[in-house]
Amino acid sequence: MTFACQKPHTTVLIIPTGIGAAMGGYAGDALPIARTLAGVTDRLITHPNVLNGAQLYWPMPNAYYVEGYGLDQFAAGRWSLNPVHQNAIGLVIDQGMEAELRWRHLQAADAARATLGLDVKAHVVTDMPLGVTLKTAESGASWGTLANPGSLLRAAERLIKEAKVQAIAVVARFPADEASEALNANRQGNGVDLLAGAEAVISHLVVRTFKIPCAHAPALAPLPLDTEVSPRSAAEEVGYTFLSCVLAGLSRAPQFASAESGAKSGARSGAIWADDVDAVILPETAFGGAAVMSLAQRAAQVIAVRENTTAMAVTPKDLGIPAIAVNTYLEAVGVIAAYKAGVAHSALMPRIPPLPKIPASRSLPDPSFTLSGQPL
Amino acid sequence: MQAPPSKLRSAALGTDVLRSDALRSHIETQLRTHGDPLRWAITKIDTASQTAHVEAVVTSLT
Repeated sequence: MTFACQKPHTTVLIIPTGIGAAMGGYAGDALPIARTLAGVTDRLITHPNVLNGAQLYWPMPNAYYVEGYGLDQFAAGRWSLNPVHQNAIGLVIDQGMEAELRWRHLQAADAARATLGLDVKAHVVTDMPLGVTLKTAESGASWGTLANPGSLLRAAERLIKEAKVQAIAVVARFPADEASEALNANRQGNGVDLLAGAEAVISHLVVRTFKIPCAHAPALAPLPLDTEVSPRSAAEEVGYTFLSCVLAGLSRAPQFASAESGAKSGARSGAIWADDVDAVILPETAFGGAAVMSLAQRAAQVIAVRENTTAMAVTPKDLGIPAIAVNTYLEAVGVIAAYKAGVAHSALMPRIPPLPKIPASRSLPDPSFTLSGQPL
Repeated sequence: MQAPPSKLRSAALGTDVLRSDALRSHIETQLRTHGDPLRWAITKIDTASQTAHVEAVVTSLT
C-alpha cells in the first residue's frame, strides 16, 4: 500500500536472456517472480525475457515492459520511461518465413486485435530475408547475427512513418535443428536458450535506431511432441507462435524520452528516471551487465539472488558493488517489503549487534567541537 | 582539515577501484573503438591479473 504523501517504490528486476539462468531462462518462467514482486513494489520495471511466456502472459498494471537496450539507457540516466495508456503496434514479418508460418502469425495478430482489443495497426514483410544465424560465445551465452539488418530497420521505419505506430513487434524466422542437443536440453529445462541472444540483437537494433519499444518473437517450425518437456519450457509448446505475449507487452510498454530531448524538470508528468529506482534484483553471477553497473550506484538496495544460477561468473563482490545477498526470490521479496515499510532488514535478524562506531581516521584529526561549534 | 587531497580520497572511498558506473562507461568507450556497442557484458573477472572479460556485439557501417 502506498499513501499519497509517499514516494512510489520502484524495483528493477533483471534476468538477462541467453545466459542459462536457472529461473527465467526458459519460457517466461520468471513471470511468477515478477507477479510476486509487483505485489510488494509500486512500480516493477523489467524486460521482455521476464514477462514473455509465448502464448502466456499476465497483465500487471504496475509492471513496465522495457526492452533490454532501452533498459540499459534508462539505467545510465540517458532515457526516461514514460507510461502510456496504449501503443499502436506495427508488426514486422521476416520475408524468410514460409507461407503457412506467416499466416499463423498474422492470425495471432488478428486474435490480439479482436479478442484483446490491442491496436495492431499494420504489418510489413521485410524486403529481404533477415537471415538469422545463431552463435554461442566463449562464456556459453547465446548471441546471433542478421544477414540483412538493414531490411529489418527499413521495415520498422515504414511502419513508424506510414502506419504511425509507437511500438514494433518483430517475427523473424529462426533456424531450429530438431536434432539439436542444446535445443532438446533447453526443452527439458537445462542449458542456455540458443535463440535468446539473437532475439536480443534484433530488438536492440530497432530500439537503438528508433528509440521506441520493440520486442521479438521467433518463428519456428512446429516441434514434435516431447513428453519430457520441463514445466519451465512448457509455455513454448502451446500454440503455433510466441507472438501473443509480445503484443500484450508492447501494447502498454512505456515510451522512451532522452535526457537531451527535454530537461528532467520539464519531462512529462509520471516519467521515471534512474534516480527513482529503489531496488534492483539480479542473479548473483550476472552482475556484469550495463544496467546493474549503472543502477548499483543509485539504487538504495541491490539484491543478489544466489539460487538463480547462470553461465556467467561476475558477482557483486567482483565489481565492488555492495549488495544484499539472498538465497531465494522469496527472501528478495521480503527485503523489499521491509524497506518499503521503513524497516531496516537487519532488525529482522535474530541477533542485532550493538550500534557500531566509525573509528577516527589515522590521517585525519578527530573532529571534536565545543558546544559553540569551534574546533578544540 | 590538514590531510592532503589524495589521502582524503582514500580515507573517504577506502579504495582505488573504479565504481561500477565508471567501469561501465570505460568499457563502452573502449568498445566504441570497434563499432557502435549494441549488447555487452562482463562475463568473468580474472582477479589474479585484474582482467575483466567482456563479450560484446558491436555494429559498424559497411
